[in-house]
Amino acid sequence: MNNIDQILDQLKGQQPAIGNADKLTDSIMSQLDQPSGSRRHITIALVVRTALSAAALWLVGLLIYQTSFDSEPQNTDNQNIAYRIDNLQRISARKNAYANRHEVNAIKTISYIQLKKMYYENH
Amino acid sequence: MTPIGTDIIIRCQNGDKEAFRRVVEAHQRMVFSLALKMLADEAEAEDVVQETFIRVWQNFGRYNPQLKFSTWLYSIASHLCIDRLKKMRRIVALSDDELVLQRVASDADSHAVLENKEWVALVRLLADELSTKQKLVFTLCQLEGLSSDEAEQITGLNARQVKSNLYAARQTIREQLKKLGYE
Repeated sequence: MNNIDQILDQLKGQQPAIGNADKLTDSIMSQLDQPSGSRRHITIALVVRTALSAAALWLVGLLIYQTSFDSEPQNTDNQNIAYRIDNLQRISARKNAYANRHEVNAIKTISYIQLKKMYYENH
Repeated sequence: MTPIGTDIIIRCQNGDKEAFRRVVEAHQRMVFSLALKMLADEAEAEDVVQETFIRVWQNFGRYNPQLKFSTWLYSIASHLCIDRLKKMRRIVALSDDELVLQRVASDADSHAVLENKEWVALVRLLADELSTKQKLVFTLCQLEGLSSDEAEQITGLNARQVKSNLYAARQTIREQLKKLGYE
């Protein structure tokens, strides 16, 4: 048997003794009727959990209420925005049409001058 | 440890405190032994003993008589030790702990009884690198001398898990002892 096995074998089955066993027994017996710390913690945890669940439910309810009952003003807002966009589009279309016409006129003018030039150059 | 009879257990389940005192007196050393070897702290181990027996008293109605009473007790104590280990800071070996190991190794043939402080030093020194499961299985099987079947019932692990955790724990402790100069 090597040294390591001897060490492990020596540790097997040994039970350390309690310093004051009677005192520990009395302490255990005196605590039997008291609510334990863990029980208290469980109660606190339950109360906190219930409160948090209620708060979460209230928030969800509020969200549903807002989305279902307050949707009309939002629609009006959306309609206003759509109307504004539509107007802007109309204005820009008009501007484009005016710019196009101006360009066509300019082209017409240039071509007339060029024609005139060409006419004088040739004759 | 005096074995507890069925009559004592029935009396405890009916709320007989005198019967329960006998249960505590008979088993508190067993629970303390497990807790000290797991936690390497005497005060923590005594706290675990108290908490274990309070839980036993509160849950005696749920005790299944088909299970050995000591197995049920070990199971409750093991779970409490694991909970405490999670909350505790890592157990780090001290410089003097090696001296304790040297004394244990030199007295290995005489099978001298170890004091609690020596147990604490040895656990700090040898079980430092073990995982919680390895530590529990090693303590139950190697140090407390329980069978694998009992360790399975206590820990809730299957046979393969108990075997692998025990093997890994033994290997780690062997490596640790080799590092310290033992062969």
